Parts: sequence; C-alpha cells; structure tokens
Amino acid sequence: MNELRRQLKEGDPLAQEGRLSDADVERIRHYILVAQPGTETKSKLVLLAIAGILVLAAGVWVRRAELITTGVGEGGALPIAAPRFADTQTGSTLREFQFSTPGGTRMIWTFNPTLEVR
Amino acid sequence: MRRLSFVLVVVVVVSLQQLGGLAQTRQAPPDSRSPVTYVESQIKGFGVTLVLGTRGTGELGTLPAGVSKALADVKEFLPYKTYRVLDTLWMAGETNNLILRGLGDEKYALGMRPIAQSATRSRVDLLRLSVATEAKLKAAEEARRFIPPLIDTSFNIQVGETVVVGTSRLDGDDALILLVTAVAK
Repeated sequence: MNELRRQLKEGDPLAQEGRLSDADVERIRHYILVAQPGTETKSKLVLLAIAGILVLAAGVWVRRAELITTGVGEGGALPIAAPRFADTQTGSTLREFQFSTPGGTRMIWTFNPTLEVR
Repeated sequence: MRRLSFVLVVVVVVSLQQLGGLAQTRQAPPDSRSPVTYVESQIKGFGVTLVLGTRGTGELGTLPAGVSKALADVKEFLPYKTYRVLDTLWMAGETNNLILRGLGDEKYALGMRPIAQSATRSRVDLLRLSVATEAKLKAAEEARRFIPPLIDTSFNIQVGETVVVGTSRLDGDDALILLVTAVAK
C-alpha cells in the first residue's frame, strides 16, 4: 500500500511543477468570476426590481394626489373629500363626503358649520 | 434566462399599466359641452325635492314614489326622525337661481348644470344651493359679509336614479336635503 502511494507521488507531474505564482492565481480567479453565470443576471434583476418598485410608487402617489385635488371620485366612492369651499371671513370650511347605501342610493353630504335652517 | 425574461415581462406590463393610469388621471376633464345631443338622451329632465330633516317630531309631507324609496334607503344613516317636504320643482335643463321655499320666510336659490354624457347618464357639473332669503342677504351685504353656498357639489346620475344631496351642521338638529331624480322620457 505504501509502495503504491510512493509510486503515485513520484509519477504525479503536478508535484514536479511547484505552486502557481500569485499573478497566475489572480488571473485564473478573474477568468472564473467573469465566466460564472448568474452574477450579472442577479445585478440586472435587482435593478429591474428597484425600477419597477419606483414606477409603482410614483403611480400610487400621483393617483392619491389627483383624488385629493379633485375631491370627488368617479361614482362617488371617496369617503371624505378635501374642503370644497372655504370662507375666509369666518374661517369655516365645507366638508363633503359621499357613499352608497346597500340599497344603491348614492348620498352626498356637506357639513356646514354656519347652516341656519330656521 | 427564462426567469429573467419572465421578470422583464412582468416589470414592463406593470410599468405600462401604471403609465396608462397616469395618462388617464392626467386627462383633462370632459368638455363642458355635451357629447350627446338632447334628442339622444333618455333623460327627460330632473325632479328636485327639498326636504327638511329634523330630530324632533312633525308632519311628513307627500313624497313622490322614487324619492320616498331613496329617502328610505338613507334614513338609517341619518340621525333625523322626521322628514318634511318643503318644496319641489321640475327642470328640463340647465338652471340658475331657481327659488325653493324653506321654512317660514326662508328661501334658497338652486343652480344646476346637467350635461348628458351618454344616452342614459348625465353629469351634473354643478349643483349649488345658496341662501336667498332677502333679510339674510341684506344683513350680509350691510355687514360686507360673504355667505358661502350651502351645497356646492357635482356628480353623475343615471336615468331613473335619485341622488340624495344634503347639508347639516356636524351636531345640528336640522338638515336640508335635496333629492335629485333623473326622470326618463
């Protein structure tokens, strides 16, 4: 058994060549890293995901801003709208909200702090 | 690679949807001129009923059938016990400063601008109810005080539909309620 091991060691061509130089090691490592599939793909995926999230966030933000500005949603689904009218003298504002009843009747209600019916 | 393609397709589709949504919300409001001629519209006109809602007891006036159903629908959401019809009027088209009678000497001016959007749908571009009682207007004028409109809103309405438009104080005992019905031809 020991004889066989000795013969293998003596016949191993790599054992005769010695170690690779540091420059060769670095060069080979570089080639391996560049040729490795997936590294660039992962970077692209991360970039694409970030871009998608940014686009989604921008869309949501603009839609919210649009609803707040207009105050009234299509079909009257917005629960509470921004003040539609401001009285600068009394400081009062009209606040309006809309909803639909289970029976399908749509209701638009304005809270008016200065309302006098009688 | 297939995974990358899938992610790319998803991102592109979502981005396009968002951009489409942005374009839609950025669209200018519909032109104030109706795209539907008066003849094409199935809406004959608008019935408007002014109702006083109160927390106390009182008499209930006679309500048209469509109006009473709409009022019955919204009653459970309102704190008022009695609903009294103050005035009714009929409108065939745009109107400005039509007078509705309120309690006692109270008067209200109604402005309404309906625009047909399709054969069965109209956009009430403006519905405004303002104080028109002479004494109150005179007092405000002398005091150089502006009286803001009681109701100032807009909404879509389908033929045959009744939309309930009301106003009240947050903790008030009374409410003014307009029931607007789009009457079919």
